[in-house]
Amino acid sequence: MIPLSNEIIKSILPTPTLSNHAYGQYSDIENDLQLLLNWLDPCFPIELPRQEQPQQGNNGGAFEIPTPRVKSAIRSCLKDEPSQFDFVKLYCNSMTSNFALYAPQMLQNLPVMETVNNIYTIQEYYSRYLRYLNLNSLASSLFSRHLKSLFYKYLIPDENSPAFLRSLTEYFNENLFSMDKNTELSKCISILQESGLELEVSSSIVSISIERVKSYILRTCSNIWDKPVLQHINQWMQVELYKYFSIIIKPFSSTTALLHLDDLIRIAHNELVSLRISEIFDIVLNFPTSKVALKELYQCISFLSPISGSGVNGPISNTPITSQTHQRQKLVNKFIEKCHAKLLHSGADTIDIITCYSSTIKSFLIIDPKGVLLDKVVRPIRRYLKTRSDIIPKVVYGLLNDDISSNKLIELAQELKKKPTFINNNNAGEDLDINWVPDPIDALPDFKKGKVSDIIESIISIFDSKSVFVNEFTRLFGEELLSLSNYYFDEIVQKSELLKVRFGENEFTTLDIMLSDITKSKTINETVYQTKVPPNSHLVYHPKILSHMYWPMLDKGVSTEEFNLPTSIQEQFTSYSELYADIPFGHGRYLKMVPSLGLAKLELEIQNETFYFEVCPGEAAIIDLFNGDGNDIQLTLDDICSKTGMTVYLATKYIQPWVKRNVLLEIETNSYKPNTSNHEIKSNSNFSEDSKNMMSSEHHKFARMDKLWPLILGMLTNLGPLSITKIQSFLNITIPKDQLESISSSNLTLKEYLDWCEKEKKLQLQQGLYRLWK
Amino acid sequence: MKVNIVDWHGVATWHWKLASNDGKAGYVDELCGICRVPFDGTCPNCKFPGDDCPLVLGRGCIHNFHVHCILKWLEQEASKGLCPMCRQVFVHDPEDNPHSEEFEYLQQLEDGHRLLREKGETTYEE
Repeated sequence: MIPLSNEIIKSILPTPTLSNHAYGQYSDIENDLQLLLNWLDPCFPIELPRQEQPQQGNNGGAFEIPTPRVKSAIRSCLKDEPSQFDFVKLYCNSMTSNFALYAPQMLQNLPVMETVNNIYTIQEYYSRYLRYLNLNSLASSLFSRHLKSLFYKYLIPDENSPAFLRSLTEYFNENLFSMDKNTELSKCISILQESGLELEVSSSIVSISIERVKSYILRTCSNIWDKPVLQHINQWMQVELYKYFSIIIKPFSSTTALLHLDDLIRIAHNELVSLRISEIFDIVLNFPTSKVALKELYQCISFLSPISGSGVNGPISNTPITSQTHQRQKLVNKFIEKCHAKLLHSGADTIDIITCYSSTIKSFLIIDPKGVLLDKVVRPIRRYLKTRSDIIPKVVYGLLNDDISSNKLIELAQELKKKPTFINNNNAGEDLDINWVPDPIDALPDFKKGKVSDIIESIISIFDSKSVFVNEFTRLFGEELLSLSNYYFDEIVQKSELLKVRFGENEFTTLDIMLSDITKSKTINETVYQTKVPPNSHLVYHPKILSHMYWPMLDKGVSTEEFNLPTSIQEQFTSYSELYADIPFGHGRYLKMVPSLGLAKLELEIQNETFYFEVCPGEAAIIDLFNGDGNDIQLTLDDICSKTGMTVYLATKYIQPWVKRNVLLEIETNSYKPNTSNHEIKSNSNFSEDSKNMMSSEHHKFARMDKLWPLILGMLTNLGPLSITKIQSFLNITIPKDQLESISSSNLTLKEYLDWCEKEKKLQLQQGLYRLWK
Repeated sequence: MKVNIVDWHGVATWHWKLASNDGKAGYVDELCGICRVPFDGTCPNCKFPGDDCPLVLGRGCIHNFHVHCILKWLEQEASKGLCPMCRQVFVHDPEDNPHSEEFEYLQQLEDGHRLLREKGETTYEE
């Protein structure tokens, strides 16, 4: 059984067309009808040569101006509405059959302009007839609708593969923005629009425009972060893009598919945001220079961006404009993703991470002053920083060191001097705050703006307890206090005041006690010298008297070294202790000496020339052994050890600096004697360089790095000369990461160490390659 | 070569001389018997060690305390003016201590307890 379908019915009962009426009886009406049909025939402009301009379509005999007889026939045939409708239906049917015959070759698979011209010819052809048919409005609109549907059917036969639309888009793409084809274009557009393709045309124009905007923004704005671009884009849109637009669009003006300048600009801004999102990590890294880009990003991404709400009409609402919420989310995700890829791994330097962290804070506060985005992006960085073992020393050093050249985190020091923007007062509950406002809508539950917006607070709060930082501060300040050669520490007080503001007054008890110890020592020292010491005695001993429980460094490291000080000093200490017990401050108390800490100022007389030295007590104890009128004092290491009570290690450690200064000469192994000539003696008046942290000599500075020496030695013996990068990478392979960090955490780079080795004549540097000294 | 020491900034630590450091008794506790903090530290209420939180040496017994700690103890009637460690009558060593409000108050408390004791003894005798 054959299923009943439209085609089968049509094959049995063909659609009635005008030709069905062609040869009837010759009544008046029939005659009129025949005349009309003859005039209308062939119902399709097939004779028109394609190349000809449609305006001249009058030739070729397709259309003839109706004779008066025909006109009267028209009048008589179409005198009332029903007959007009009947006629139009029949006319349309013959049109359909003619289209089926001719349209494929006229409308399909041709260059765009040819297709458009053919459309125009067909349109023109029918409109001429229509003009003489005097149809009423309903009938004529029925006709034109039918015509449009026919065009649509043959131009876009298949929704899924719109070949014509593709070529149309291509055509627009080539010619849309060039002045020379302007008239042709606008004509083409108006023809297509007449033929019922407004939507297709305008959406293709819009998508092309968006492509243009995209490529323009990509071309002009990528990697340009230090100049404002928004204004340029707006201007370009107005002057360049919209200029063509308005010309092309003019014939559209009656339709709904009107593209507003506002919408275009909004599209442009969206494109800019997408571009910036893809660049966000680098923008943040370049922070101070990229400020302008960040501000513009803020303008585009903030919820308050001043864009009119005209985007509801037509094709714009179909374009993929991402909402601002979505873009903010994308920004956060992109940044976090890049952070993980580029920053938060063991290859990155802690200082770099901290620097990046602080520029992240500053950048994201520009993008989103409420701090919500910031809160989201810093979380992974904070989590990672917490795992870095060396963050605390680095941060503390950064906070305290004011020297721009040596402090890579000088930003922190500068930040410390500013007034804190956020003071954590937990006791005043949020409910009592009269200016309370709810958290922003997209904030995470534990969002707290101040916690992330203040850089120092933000870093401190990475750790749950502040005491890790405070301990480090205390240690550093303590070392600084002990290395003072007087009792003045205003700078330290000033810094500690700044720190107290940030960390809380109560965290610094130990430091306060340390400071008060020094102040008291000063008073004690003055009292002792003014009231007790006879003015003509030569006392040079000025102790710092410490409360031993509150100085963290007293129980470890250098301070535990035990040895005998020069007898004169020992005696002076004893008498000082006696004096101390006599004055009110020392009531009921006694003193214990910490021999290894402190600072000695010495004058060495060598060959009638005086050299001035500031050294640590250990060194002073050694050189004091060589005190004598003659130059023939010669001591072996064993002698020195037994006289000073030092271990061999200590003695060697404190002899070395003197040998380096050429004050002592090692005449044979482990046997020393004073230098008799005063040439080449290096007086160290700049004390600070040499024994700042009680690590008195350079040798000591590199003591930790010396663990690397056997490895470097082996490397250079086996592989020959190597560049520093090679050495570094070999070390990275051979030494476990945590050990390598602990070795090189003292702010020394491998470079410095190698340079020092070179100075020590262990290595030679030739053309960037290190080789062993031969 | 002549070595001339121009200036020497040494470092020393101070420590309390405790009662019977002179060897009268063998073992001397390093911690305050009341607050269990080393003598060279402070009592729980003080910040700065040393002059601000002085030490009281016992004369009757060998026990030492932060002055603030022993004051608190003696303020209680239940203490009966005895040393909290050895239950002997607590008398501080005035020689070793500067004259200050704290020590005057300490003296007052000790005197008060002594009076109470004497009164008690007389009533008992009657």
